[in-house]
Amino acid sequence: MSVTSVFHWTSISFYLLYANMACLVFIFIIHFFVPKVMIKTYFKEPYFSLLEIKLFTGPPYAYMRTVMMMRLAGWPDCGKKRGIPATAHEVCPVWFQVLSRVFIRTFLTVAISLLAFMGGTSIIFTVFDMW
Amino acid sequence: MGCGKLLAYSSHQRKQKLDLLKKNIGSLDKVLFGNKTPHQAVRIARGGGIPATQHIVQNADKLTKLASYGKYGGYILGGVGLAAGCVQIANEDNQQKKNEIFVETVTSIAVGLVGGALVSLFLISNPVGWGTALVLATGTAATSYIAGEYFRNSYTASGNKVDFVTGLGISSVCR
Repeated sequence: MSVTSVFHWTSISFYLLYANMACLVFIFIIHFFVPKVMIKTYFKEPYFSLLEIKLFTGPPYAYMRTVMMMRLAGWPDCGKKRGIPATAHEVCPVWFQVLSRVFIRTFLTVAISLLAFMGGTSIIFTVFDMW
Repeated sequence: MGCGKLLAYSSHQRKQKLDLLKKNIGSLDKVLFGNKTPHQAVRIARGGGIPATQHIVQNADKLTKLASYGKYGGYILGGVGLAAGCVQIANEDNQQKKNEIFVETVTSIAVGLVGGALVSLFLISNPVGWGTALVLATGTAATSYIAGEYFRNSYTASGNKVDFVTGLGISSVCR
């Protein structure tokens, strides 16, 4: 494989897509390892509405609850507007807090990169009629 | 605590809970409660022969049903997208076109899921009303559609080096 094909825009876009898909697979795996005590303590009223609780429990949106719990474990202050105490992270083990911080930073990086790359190349190709 | 104080305390707690419910439901209260306010709709049932919590249970059931509709919506969107892609692949003779359809379908679903995860990161720190939730859902759906088209073009531009449909056994499933 030549250097030009590795750095071709289509290759970069597909690498970013694969990285995002790997993050999704990771979320689906870690879903089963989210500390139950954390869900029982904070994924309930009054912190979440009844509708949110029903919607984000079970498929197809349960992975969104996992992402929320990971952010809460990594950044306990983030639940302030929902009334979740800043000590929320204390109920989950340290490995989950560390993993959450590392994963969410990685996920944000690859997801935003994909969206930015898609947006950027789309604008350039449309403006210069290169599609 | 005396009986009067206890009643005043529970009434205050009830008002707080109802205020929270009203805040959480937001502008959807008209759909759920009609012309009544949440306070009126979820009032204690004073009629004889029915439990005092009857109205509260009924309205909780309505919310649960609404959440179920949202879940069905997710299943339908994902399921219809996959089924439509599979039918298109089955009806297409050209291998390149089959791969393009596959890439478009998979990318669209994957980017939709990534969008959902990004929205969740925002939702935990910002409980949103129905208007914002609708905007976020529409934005995610639009991004997922655009991503499908984008990667279809990317696959064509890349020279179709990888045959996903044959390699992953899609052609034997969608035929």
